[in-house]
Amino acid sequence: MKKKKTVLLADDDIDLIETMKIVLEAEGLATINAYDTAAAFARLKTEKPDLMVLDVMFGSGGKTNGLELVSKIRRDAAVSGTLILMITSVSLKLPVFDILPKKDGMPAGRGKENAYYKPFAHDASAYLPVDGFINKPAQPEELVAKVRALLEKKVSKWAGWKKK
Amino acid sequence: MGLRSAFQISIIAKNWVNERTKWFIDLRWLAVLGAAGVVSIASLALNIDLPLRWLYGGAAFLAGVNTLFLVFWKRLVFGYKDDKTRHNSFANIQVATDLLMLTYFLHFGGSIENPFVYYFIFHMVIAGILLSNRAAYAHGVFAVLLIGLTSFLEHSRVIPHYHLTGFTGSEMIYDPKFLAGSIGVLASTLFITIFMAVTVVNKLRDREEKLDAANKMLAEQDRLKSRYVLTVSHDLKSSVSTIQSCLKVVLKGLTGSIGPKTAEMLSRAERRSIYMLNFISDLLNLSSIRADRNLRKNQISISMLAEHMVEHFGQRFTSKKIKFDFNDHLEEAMILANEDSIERVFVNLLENAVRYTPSGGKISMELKNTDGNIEVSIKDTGIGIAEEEQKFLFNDFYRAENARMIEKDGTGLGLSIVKQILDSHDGKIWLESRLGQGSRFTFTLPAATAYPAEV
Repeated sequence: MKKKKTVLLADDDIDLIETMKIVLEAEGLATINAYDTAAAFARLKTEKPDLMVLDVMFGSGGKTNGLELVSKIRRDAAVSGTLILMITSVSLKLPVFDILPKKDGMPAGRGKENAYYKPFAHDASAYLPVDGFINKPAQPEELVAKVRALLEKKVSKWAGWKKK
Repeated sequence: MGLRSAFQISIIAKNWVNERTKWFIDLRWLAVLGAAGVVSIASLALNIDLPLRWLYGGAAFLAGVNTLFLVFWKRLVFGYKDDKTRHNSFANIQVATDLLMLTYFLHFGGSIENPFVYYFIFHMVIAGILLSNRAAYAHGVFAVLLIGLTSFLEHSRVIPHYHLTGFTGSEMIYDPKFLAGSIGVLASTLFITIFMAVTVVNKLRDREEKLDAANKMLAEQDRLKSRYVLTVSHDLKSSVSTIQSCLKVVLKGLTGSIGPKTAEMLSRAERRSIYMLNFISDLLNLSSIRADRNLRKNQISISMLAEHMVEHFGQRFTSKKIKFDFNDHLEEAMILANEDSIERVFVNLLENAVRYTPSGGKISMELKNTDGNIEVSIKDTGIGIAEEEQKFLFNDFYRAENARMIEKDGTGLGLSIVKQILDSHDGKIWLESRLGQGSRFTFTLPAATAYPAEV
């Protein structure tokens, strides 16, 4: 029998995890949970899930600890290939997400390829080393579609992104 | 901001160090030329007997010293950018050098008998404005000592006196009363000058420090406010979106089948949770626009943004069978704006047009240049707005009577947001509308000069 694919749900919102669990398990996927970033990292290392759904902000007070966990995962050779689907309720265009690689004072890697010209556009989602985004409230169809699409891949394209 | 730019041009600001030392150097070139010029005119045109060798030599020497200062200044600026102590000592050395050089010129030009002795006042003003109070008074004492001692030594015939033959009659320096009187009046003039300069400057410095502190506080409050907006946004939206997700899971039958009555009630609850999410988003949008004093602005092309919006709404127009016309007459399409905000202006206006225009109606959008501005108008054949309601339309939470009948779930914040965004971009918005016939919203934004082709 083919082993079920496992999704790690990392969010401080237990109620949300429960709903995502119901949605994903109805799709024949196995899920494991983590309610904080430390637990998420630990389960990632021990249980090697196929995909991780990760929240941006854990707890109150505007802490963006989910982003820090992404960076920690990508630097760790054992788990740097983890597929990550970032789930967020706040716009990543807010100035607090000042995480852009800057070149000559402007974000690098932006230019003509955009729908319209925006040389200084500031959208953190363009630079995060994650494999996909989903906005809260996550609709069941969208969640399933994004998870299924990502599970087609084996390893994140960001594997070994930052050697340090 | 006006306040901030006032800071930058202020010449008394304490951190205005490297500019002021450079300013000394620039002025000194003028002094060199001035000294040489005055000496030439005095000796050639006015036939005053002067020791030209010493005076021209002094001017050349000052030019040499100033070149050294310039070299040193460059090293200081590029080597120790933030070293204020070095800049301060450098400024003090320069003022002292200038006092020495002025005394030198005066000595070879009749000393205290020379009316140029009052040029010491300039140095006192400069020292009073640019140096610390103590340094200014110290330079005052130094100046009085220099000229006093020189004159006294000349008076006592210890060093030679160069009399301005052809300018002053008798050699007044040998008259003790004249010597004491001149030095005394000069000294008091210099100290009174310093006192006045220092008093005014202290007041200004004090005010500047207060403004600086206030500015820092404002920046900190800005930061806290955006943190606050983010936190509230996250905490409120997370809960409501989780409620919505829970309801959705049940409604989809993932937890087992439910009866039609239950499904209906859950649907009502779900719809309200979605309304609540939109409401929170709108409120936060509005408060963050109002709170944000430093909206990030870029050069953007409004034509391309409008086209993008047309594409975005295309499906909505077709599915509601609304005819859409887009006319772009822009020659200069660049504006300096926060892109997301302007996108929001388009979305809110087009959203309203679609929402309140019945199927089979028509919406048209037109872009054109009007003296220095870009004008965008969005016209629909919708329900229109009653004359007496029009003036309230941009108020927070206001919704027109007929709009409420059509759409129960509006927040009444869409046009407030639009107005707020346009205000923060020096734009304007107005409407023309007749009940039952349609509305036309027009907004203007100042055009920006074209951006270089590629960055």
